[in-house]
Amino acid sequence: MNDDCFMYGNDHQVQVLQAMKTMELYADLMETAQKEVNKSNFKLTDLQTSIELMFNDKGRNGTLKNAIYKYICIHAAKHSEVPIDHLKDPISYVFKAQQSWEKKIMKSLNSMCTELNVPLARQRTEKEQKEFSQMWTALGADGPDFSQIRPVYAPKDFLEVVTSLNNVNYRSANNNGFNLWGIIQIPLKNRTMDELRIQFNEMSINQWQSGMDDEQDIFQEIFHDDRIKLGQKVIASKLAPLACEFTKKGSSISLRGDLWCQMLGIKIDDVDVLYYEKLKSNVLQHELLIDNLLYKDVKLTATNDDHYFVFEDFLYQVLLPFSRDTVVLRNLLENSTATPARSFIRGKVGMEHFEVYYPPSGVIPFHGFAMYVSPLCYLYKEPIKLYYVFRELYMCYFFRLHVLSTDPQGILSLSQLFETLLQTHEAELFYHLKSVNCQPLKIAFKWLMRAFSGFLASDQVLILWDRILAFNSLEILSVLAVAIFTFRKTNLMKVQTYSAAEGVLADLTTLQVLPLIQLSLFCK
Amino acid sequence: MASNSNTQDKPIHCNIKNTVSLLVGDHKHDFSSGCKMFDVTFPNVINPEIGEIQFKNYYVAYLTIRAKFRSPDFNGQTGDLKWRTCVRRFKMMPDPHSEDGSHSYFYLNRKHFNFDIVNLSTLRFILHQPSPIWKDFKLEDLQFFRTSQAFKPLNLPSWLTAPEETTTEDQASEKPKLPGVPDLDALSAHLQELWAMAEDVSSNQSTVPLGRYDVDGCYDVTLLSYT
Repeated sequence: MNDDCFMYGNDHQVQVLQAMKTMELYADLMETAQKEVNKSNFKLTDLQTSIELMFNDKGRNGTLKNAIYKYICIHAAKHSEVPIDHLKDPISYVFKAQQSWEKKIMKSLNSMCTELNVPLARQRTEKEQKEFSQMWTALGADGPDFSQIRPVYAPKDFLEVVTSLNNVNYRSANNNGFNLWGIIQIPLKNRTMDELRIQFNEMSINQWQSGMDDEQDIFQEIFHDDRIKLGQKVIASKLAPLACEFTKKGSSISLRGDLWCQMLGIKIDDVDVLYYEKLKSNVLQHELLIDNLLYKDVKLTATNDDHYFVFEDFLYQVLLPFSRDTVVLRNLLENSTATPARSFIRGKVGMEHFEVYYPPSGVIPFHGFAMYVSPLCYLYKEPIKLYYVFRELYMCYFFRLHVLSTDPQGILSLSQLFETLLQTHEAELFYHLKSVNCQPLKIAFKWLMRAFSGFLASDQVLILWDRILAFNSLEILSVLAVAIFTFRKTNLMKVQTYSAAEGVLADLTTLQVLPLIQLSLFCK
Repeated sequence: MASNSNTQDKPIHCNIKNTVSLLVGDHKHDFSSGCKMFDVTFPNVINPEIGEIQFKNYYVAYLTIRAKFRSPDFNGQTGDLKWRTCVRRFKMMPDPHSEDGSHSYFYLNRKHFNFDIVNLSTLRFILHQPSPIWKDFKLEDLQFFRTSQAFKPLNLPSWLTAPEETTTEDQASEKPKLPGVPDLDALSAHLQELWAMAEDVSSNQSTVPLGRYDVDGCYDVTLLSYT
C-alpha cells in the first residue's frame, strides 16, 4: 500500500482534517478559540497568529498532537477514487474469502437459533430488566443453562480458513512451482529478521528492560527507581508518543495502567461515563443470543483459569456492553475487511429502513474472545476504565487477529511471518516437524489469535502487550512464537507425532517473554 | 468521488491491441520471459493528447511506456514518426515476489511522464515481471484522459496550505471610520460569534452518529439475512 500513498498526496491531510471535525476535541478547541476571540483586547488583524499561539500555550497542543498521532497510527491513507471493495482489501481473493467465512459464521448462528428455538435478540420485560439490573455486579453467580450453547467457531476452524486461501495466479507447491514449507501459501511481504531487529531495537540485550532486569535485587535501586521516576515524568507530559517511547523498554507495574491510557488516548470524562451507562441500559433492554455466547466463553476460558477466575463478573460488565457498542461497528466498517452481519426487525424482512446490524458492535465472539479482556482486569479496578481500554485495544489491534486481510498486522501476515522466520532460522526444526506431519502453525495459531492471553502467565501477557502498544505492532507475537519453538527445540526434535509436539508446547506459563524475544531477535 | 470526476472528463476512445509475450527460442518451450507488450492506438481522435493514464494492476512489477508520435510540423508538412520513452521502468510492485501492489490502482499523470504526450500516434506498454512465481500478469481497466484528475482543488482550508500570506495591511486600511456606526471591533466580535455558531451547526450536522442500533426502540431480531 505504501507505494500507492505517494500518489495520494494531500488526500490524507483532508482525511485527517475531516476526521478531526467529528471529534469532541474539535468542538473544545473551537469553543476555546471563540472565547479567546471574544476577549476585548483581541485584534482581528492577528487572528491566526494569536490563536496559534494560544493553542501552543495552554497544553492544548499536546492533546491535538495526541489525537492526530492516534489517527495516523490507525488509518492509512486512502485514495478517494478507488472502489470501496478495493479499499477494504486490495487483494480481491482475500476479501472474497473473508466474505464467505462470514457467511459460514452467519449460517452457524442461524442454525443455532433454529435448533434452540430462540431469537437472536428480544426485548426484556420490565420485570426481567429489574432483576437483571440488580444482578449487574454478580452476573456470574447463577446464569441460565448454557449447556446447549456452543461457541460459533474456535481458532482451529479459523486456521482452516486461513490455510485454504489460495491465489490462482501463484505457482504453489502442488502446481510444480515454489515450495514454502508452511501451510500458508500466499506470498505476502514480511519483514526479515534484520528489519525486525531494527524495528525492535529498543528491546536489544544491551538495553535495560523493565519486566526483566528490575527483578534482580542488585539492580533494583539503580534501575527500577530511575525508571519509575522517568515514567512519572512521562505521564505528567500527557503525550502519547512519549509514552510509547518509554514503554518500548517496558513499563513497571505501578505505571502500566496510566501509560496504556496515555498511549491509547483514553481520558475518562463525564461523557464517557454517560456513554457506558447508556450501553449498560441497552444491555438491560435487549437480550441477545450473543450474550449467551459470551457467557459460555467466559465460563469455558476465564472461569477455568487460575489467573482470571476472580474477574468473572468484571468480564461480563465489559463484554456485554461491548456487544452493544456501535463505535466498534463503525471502526470495523471503516478499517477492516469485515462486513458485519445484518438482519431485519421481526416482521419487516426486506424493508430497508428496518435493516439492523447484528450484533450492534458487529463482533461475533469466538472461543477465547474473553481472553482479550482478562489480563486487563489486573490493571484497572473500575469497570468503566477497563471497558474503554479494552475497546481501544480491540479497535486498534485485536480485531486484526480474527479477520482475513493482507494488512501487515493481520493474522494472515503474522502467521506467515511466523512460518518464514521459523523456516529461515530454525530450518532443521521446521523440517523435522513437517516430516512427522506436524505443521508448526497448527500449534502456534491459537497463540497468535489470542495474542498469547491465557497461554502465558498473566504478568507475562501484560509485559508482551506493553510492547505491542509501544511499537504499535503485532509482529512481536510471531517473533515470540518462533522464540518458543526455538527454546523447546531439543524436545521438539525428539517428537514423532503431532500430539507429542502439542504436549511439549502445552504449558507456556513458566516462560519469560523478554529473554525469549531477545533470544530469537538478537542472539543469532 | 469517482463518478463525479468522470463526468468532467470522459476517457479518450482508444483501441487496445492484443498482448504479445516475449518469447525465447521457439513456441514449443514454455519459457516465461517475464516481459509482455501491447500497443494502444487512438483511431478516432485527432491529435490525441494524454494527461492521465488510469489502470488497475494485475501482477505487473515494472511498467515502461513508449510513445510514437510525429515530430512538430514544419510548414504544414507532417514530420517523421518517432519513438520516445515516456515512462521508464515505473515500479508498481515494490517486491515482485510478494503481493504488495499487485492489485493496486495507478494514476499516472504529467508528473510521471518524461514529456507531454501530444500528437500521439501509438502508445506501447511494456510490462515486466521478473518473478517467476506468478502465472500471469497484465493491466486491467486501462483508461486514458485528456486532463489529469489528480490535481483537482483540494478540500483543505487555505490557511493550512497557503504559506504566510498576510492580509493585515489590507484589512487595516479597509476599515474606514463611519460616524453613527457602533464600534466595529465589538460588532465584528459578535458577528464572529454568530458565524462560529452557524459553522458549528453546519459542520457537526450528520457526521457523528448517535450510536443507536435499534429502529424506533425495537431490536427484535430472529435470523440473520444473507444479503
